[in-house]
Amino acid sequence: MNVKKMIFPVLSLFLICLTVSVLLALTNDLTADKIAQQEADALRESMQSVIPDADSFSESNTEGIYAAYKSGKNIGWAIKVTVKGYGGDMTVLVGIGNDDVIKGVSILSHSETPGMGAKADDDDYLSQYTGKNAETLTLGADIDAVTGATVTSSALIGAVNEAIEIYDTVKVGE
Amino acid sequence: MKKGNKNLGREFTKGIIKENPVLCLLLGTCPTLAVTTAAVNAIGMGVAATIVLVLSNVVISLLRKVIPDTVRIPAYITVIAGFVSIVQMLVKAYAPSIDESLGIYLPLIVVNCIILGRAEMYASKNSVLPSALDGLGMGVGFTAAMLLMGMIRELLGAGTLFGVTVLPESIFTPITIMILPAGGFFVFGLLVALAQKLRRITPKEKEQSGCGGCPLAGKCSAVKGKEDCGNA
Amino acid sequence: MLRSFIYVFLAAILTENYILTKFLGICPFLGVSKKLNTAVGMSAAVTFVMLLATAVTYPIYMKLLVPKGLEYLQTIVFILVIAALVQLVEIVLKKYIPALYKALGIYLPLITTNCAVLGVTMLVIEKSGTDYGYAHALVNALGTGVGYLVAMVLFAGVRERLEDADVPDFLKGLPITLIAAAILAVSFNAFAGIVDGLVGTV
Repeated sequence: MNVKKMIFPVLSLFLICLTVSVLLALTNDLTADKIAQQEADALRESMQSVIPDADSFSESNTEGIYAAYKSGKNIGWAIKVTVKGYGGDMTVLVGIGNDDVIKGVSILSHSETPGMGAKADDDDYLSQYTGKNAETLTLGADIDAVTGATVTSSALIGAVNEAIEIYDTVKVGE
Repeated sequence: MKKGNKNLGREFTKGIIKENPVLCLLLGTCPTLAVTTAAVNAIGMGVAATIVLVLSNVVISLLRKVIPDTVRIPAYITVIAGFVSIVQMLVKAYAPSIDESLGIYLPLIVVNCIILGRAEMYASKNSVLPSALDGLGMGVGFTAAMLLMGMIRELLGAGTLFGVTVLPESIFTPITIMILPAGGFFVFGLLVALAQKLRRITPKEKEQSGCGGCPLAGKCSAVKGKEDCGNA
Repeated sequence: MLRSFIYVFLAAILTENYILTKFLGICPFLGVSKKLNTAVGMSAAVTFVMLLATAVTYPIYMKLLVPKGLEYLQTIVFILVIAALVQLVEIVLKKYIPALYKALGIYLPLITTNCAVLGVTMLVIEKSGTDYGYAHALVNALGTGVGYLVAMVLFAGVRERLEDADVPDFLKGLPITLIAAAILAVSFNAFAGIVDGLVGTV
């Protein structure tokens, strides 16, 4: 009698868990591919925006470093860097062409203050970087900071400089 | 509990105004504060939560005679978590931008007191159709409250509504703090004050509702009689 | 290494305070913080569960869910683990430290639905990476709990004062509490960057 009282609740809970798990596994099967596709598309889109001339990309042996190709020929690199911003981590994608020129900068994710640091995530602001030579950049001299958001702007330029350093090593290895 | 000929319509509408989960029952405050930085986020969260709420209310109502009392809370949690996970996967696959803007608050729907609260207080004691309508009404009420907050915060904090610039910076400097956490508390406080005023509720009576709707209120001896949870 | 622990710990209290910056754990925050001793008791219980939950869920995720491609079970596994842990803590306390059980009694089951607990278990997974591992996750959980305590205690003090204040009728109760919370949140904004300054960028 006591055993039955104990077994039944546990059993029914177990059955519910089982049913739910099966449903989840099914949903996962149905959606996993689409989800992976979405992530790949998003990445592709950002890479395209930082190296507009490219028609294909491939990840190199190092995570976060992507080679960009045009008609099969390597024309540059898209490099992902994560730095500490004002409100948290900031992930930046920097596109540098093999001619040592920055082709584009895109912010993939950030936690900056809306209305202040978040203003850095703006096409007009980021276009400052496009066309600059891939050498260490200085805030104020080469790139204007976002008014009132020095920390964010410094973090961003730090990320770009880090990407430039990575580019130098990758290019040599090429 | 009304039995027999219930006015089904009322089951639906009560969740929107009279017993609005956020402004009257004071449940689901975490996502309301967190997600309402932009009106469109409020809708995304509201829709996702409503879907989970309706589905879980239906399932729990269907199983209400079968789930043993001792394990009912874990059982409810399992069902709710299941639906939340399904919604998560669907959103990731078909609306990834919503997934990004809601972030961690999407899976946190599973501990949204509204859902567990309605399961315990309503779906476990009523049949399927009223439960579904109750869920739908509460969900719509939740979405409406969040939308209101989201619109206010976005308009005052960024000058935009749904991303469209309504108050350009030339005539209106955005009050940035509105989209920061402090602004969230502030706007919410004013909205609850407004709701209180409209319902002409005395403070003592109102303070019971936050805990009362909590699914664990049954275990909470403080709510049962003497003092309420908040004043314990 | 130690520096990164201190960084994570301080950040969890000051700049990433779960209640004041992430809006996690609000319900008990608004409901329980009226008296100082209950605020402390509740926060202590929450911290303990956070630490325990992170200690259990992190390896489950890393060693069990990820290798088998079962990440989609994260939500359901985590919440069930938390529910089970809370149940276990309740039973253990009831049997071995009944005085403590009685003091905390009502707040223990409420911890299951506390978004901060589920939140911390999930956020430490998101943060995990090359320089953030199991130890960091535990430190983070501990810091989050302490941050929770700090916010609760500060707020209890504010609320005790509010009791004697002359508040307009329509603001009485929850609204004035929320506005007070807003001001507390603003004051915490001042901590931005302090951890970098104290510990140095890690």
